[in-house]
Amino acid sequence: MNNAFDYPILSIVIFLPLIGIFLMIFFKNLNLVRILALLTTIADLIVALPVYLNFDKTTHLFQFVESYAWIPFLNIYYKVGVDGISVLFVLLSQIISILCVLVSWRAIQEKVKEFYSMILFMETIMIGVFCAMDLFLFYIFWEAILIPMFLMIGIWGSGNRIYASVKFVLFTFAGSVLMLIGIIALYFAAGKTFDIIELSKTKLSLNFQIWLFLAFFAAFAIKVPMFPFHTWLPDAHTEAPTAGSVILAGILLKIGAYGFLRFSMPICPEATLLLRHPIQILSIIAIIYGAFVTLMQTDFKRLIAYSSISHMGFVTLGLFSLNFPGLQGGILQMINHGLVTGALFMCIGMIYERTHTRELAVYGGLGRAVPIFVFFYTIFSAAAIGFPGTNSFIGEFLVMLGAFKEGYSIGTPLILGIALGTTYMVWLYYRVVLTELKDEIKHDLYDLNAREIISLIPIVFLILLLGFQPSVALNFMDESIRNLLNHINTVSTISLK
Amino acid sequence: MGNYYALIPEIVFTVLLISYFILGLLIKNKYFTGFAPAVIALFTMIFIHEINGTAFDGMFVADKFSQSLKFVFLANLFLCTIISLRYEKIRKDILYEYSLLMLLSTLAMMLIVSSRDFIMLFLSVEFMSLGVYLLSGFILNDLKSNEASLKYYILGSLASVFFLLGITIIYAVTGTTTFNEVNEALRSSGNLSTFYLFLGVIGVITALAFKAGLAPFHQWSPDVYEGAPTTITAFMSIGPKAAAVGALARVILESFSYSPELWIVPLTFLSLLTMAVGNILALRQRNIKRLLAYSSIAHAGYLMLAILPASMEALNAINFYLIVYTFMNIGAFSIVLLLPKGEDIEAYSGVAFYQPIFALFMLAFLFSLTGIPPFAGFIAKFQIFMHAIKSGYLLVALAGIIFSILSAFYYLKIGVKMFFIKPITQNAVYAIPWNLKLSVIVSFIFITVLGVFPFLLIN
Repeated sequence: MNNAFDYPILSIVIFLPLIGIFLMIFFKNLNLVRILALLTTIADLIVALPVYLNFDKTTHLFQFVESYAWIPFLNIYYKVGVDGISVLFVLLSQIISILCVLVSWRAIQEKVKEFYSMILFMETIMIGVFCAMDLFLFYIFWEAILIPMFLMIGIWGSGNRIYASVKFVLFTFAGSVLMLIGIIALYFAAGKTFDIIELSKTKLSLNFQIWLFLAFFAAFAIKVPMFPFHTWLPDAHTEAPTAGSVILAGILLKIGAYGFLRFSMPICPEATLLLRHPIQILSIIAIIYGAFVTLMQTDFKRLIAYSSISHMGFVTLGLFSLNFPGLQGGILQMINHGLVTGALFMCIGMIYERTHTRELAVYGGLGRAVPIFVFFYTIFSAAAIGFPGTNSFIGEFLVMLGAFKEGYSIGTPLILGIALGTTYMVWLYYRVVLTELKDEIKHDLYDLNAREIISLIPIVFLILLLGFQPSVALNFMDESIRNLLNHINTVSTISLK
Repeated sequence: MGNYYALIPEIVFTVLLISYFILGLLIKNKYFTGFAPAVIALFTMIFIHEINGTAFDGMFVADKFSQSLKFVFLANLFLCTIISLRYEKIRKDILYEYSLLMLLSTLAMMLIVSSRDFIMLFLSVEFMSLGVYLLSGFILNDLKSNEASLKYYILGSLASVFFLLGITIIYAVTGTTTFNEVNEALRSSGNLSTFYLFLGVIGVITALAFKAGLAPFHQWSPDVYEGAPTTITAFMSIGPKAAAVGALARVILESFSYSPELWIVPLTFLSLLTMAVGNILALRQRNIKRLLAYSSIAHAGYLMLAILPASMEALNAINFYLIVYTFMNIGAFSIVLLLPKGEDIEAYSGVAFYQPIFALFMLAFLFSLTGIPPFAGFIAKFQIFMHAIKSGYLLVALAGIIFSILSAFYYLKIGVKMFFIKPITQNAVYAIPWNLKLSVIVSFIFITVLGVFPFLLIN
């Protein structure tokens, strides 16, 4: 389907934040810089509204497609478009960007201009990743995000930031260059094209598919991160500034899972079917191992970071159940995790601005001291557990449905995972909110201000909206999922169990 | 005699060079001696494009490949002249000779990549090397610089001996020194002595590998790069290397393409070893010039990957890579010149705190050297690996990729120093000379524009 508008709407959405960066050069006043960044991110959302409103939910095809020859002799195109899956992540990226601007308002006092340019630069790249319909273009965006993230962790991070930033770059770079080899090999195998629609139509030999799948797996599994490639995540999350953690949790991890959906599954359908069991097992290990490690953490932020590993295990398990509810749940869980973990990182950032410590031992009794904060924190904790009425309940339920459909041996360990998840979140809640208020932080605490409340309300709204009316999101993706499953089943010679 | 059309750029360059030679004796103005080579380089650039053909009965050729390499040499000459303008380590009274030698060796490089005959290739390589030997010792009273010059000269002479030996053997076996005639001889008569021919090829490859700084013939380069004046290090890390790689590519493609068994194994070995040595040894360096020396060894290794397929398209990849490499390397060296004590890695601590813009530029050069988009280094590396995989060298390419992961580590090390560590000295604010600003900005524009719009160059 072609672009329904007579102007290149997606390109405008992708590159609008760069204009914000350009305008920022002319402002000296730091508050104006902040307001400009906020306006840019909001403007980007407004510009993108026609995409969401006019999105045709009855088709799996890419919409609002733009295509220009970019490197003609290599047959590389600048081709962007959205389908039912990616459109949700474009929206998520925009929401997360707005929240990141808000949450950094007071926390970032050094190099403000540079910081906001990084956020805007990342917004461009994130939207670009989800819109790219050319594998080469996708790779460019995928790699380019290393630069702002490296700087963000390294410059504005805390404590062990240098180690964390270098580790982050090296891990991701190692994975993505292996993917690059796969991309080039695929390019020749598929008759010199990078167009993902053409690529998914190509019939590749099983042996080639397996190698290709593994090459992609290297990149995506590190980014998700799946066990045992997860070790960069706790460091990067813990040391990054709040906005960095929110973007990491909200978008960056999702790019890995999105890669599985967009590239691994359609291009290597047989290899996906063949290799799904090892990946399911890795996901289960991630869920349970991640939960156990989370239980032992004494650092507030690191605890949430480890819980991400566990939550992302749900996502990959859902995706690789390769059935309708599983994929629905996996994708929904990606969005949920982005919102909920992002919100939890924002909460930690807010409380850290007051107490300047993340050590759990000094926390306690926040319920009396900062009730508004605790109101929000309670909702987010409940959402992280998967409490009915919140979005994660729907997501985890669908994932479980998919997993049990795949087999009892896959589904049963999930129950343990969910139980452990509840344990660490409730215990954390007990330690932070309930017990006695400690002297160390007593005098630093004051409740949320208007800006902080405004930045948290949209997330609460979305959590409840998706919790009570999940079809809002599911409607978008249903056709695309159905098409993907159809594709896998028809193309593959091995039949689904 | 005959057609000199193909020689027009060289003729223009030589005429200007001789005018400079004579005028320079009369005009003792430092602006004249400083700027003249840059002007000559820019002026000659106008003529490179669109000139195709052969001269001297096919000994000399101007084709797309040589055109773009000549652009590299002239751009290199231009930028190196610009960054030399206010370089204090070169004595003012020998600036004239300094510029003259740069011009002469650039002329030689232009001849190297146009050579289609072993004798002409040998003479041009010697011509170039003599200039560079002298240039690397141009800090007259510095022991390290003198040592660099002497070391380079002695080892270079040894390489020349191998070169001549190789040419002699090839001549003895095939009866010709012209590239395509050698190829014809190899194709038509199957009963040539493979053993001697192999020795001959090894001789030629050894000599060119030495000039290009490929492992295991790289030992001279870190010492020479460290000792030479920084401007000349920049000059050497691009010009002679590009010329040698270009010559090697042409020799392989035009004279031995029918008998790959002669060079496939040695070149694969050289490529792998070079990537390994360059990237692994760079990890430990604390002197930036040495680090960039090892990194340039590694880059020569990647370039070897594109010679292996022995195809015209792969040559285009080499061209693109070298053009991009010129700009990112000159950019990095300009930053080295720009910082006081810029050779020591400690000097980079906290540069971002007092020179944020230039720190960002340096970071762009480093990311480009690593091969991270959106900078042109990525497109360049991508093409190299693409051609290697296309021709079935998947495992070699994989090894290359794994070594380039290592390279991320040492390039990042500089980035980390610049951005994440507080500056040690307080009085770090100083003015940046305009010439370095110019070279940095020009390089940055090139690597960014070529990274985002590579079609401007490839087509």
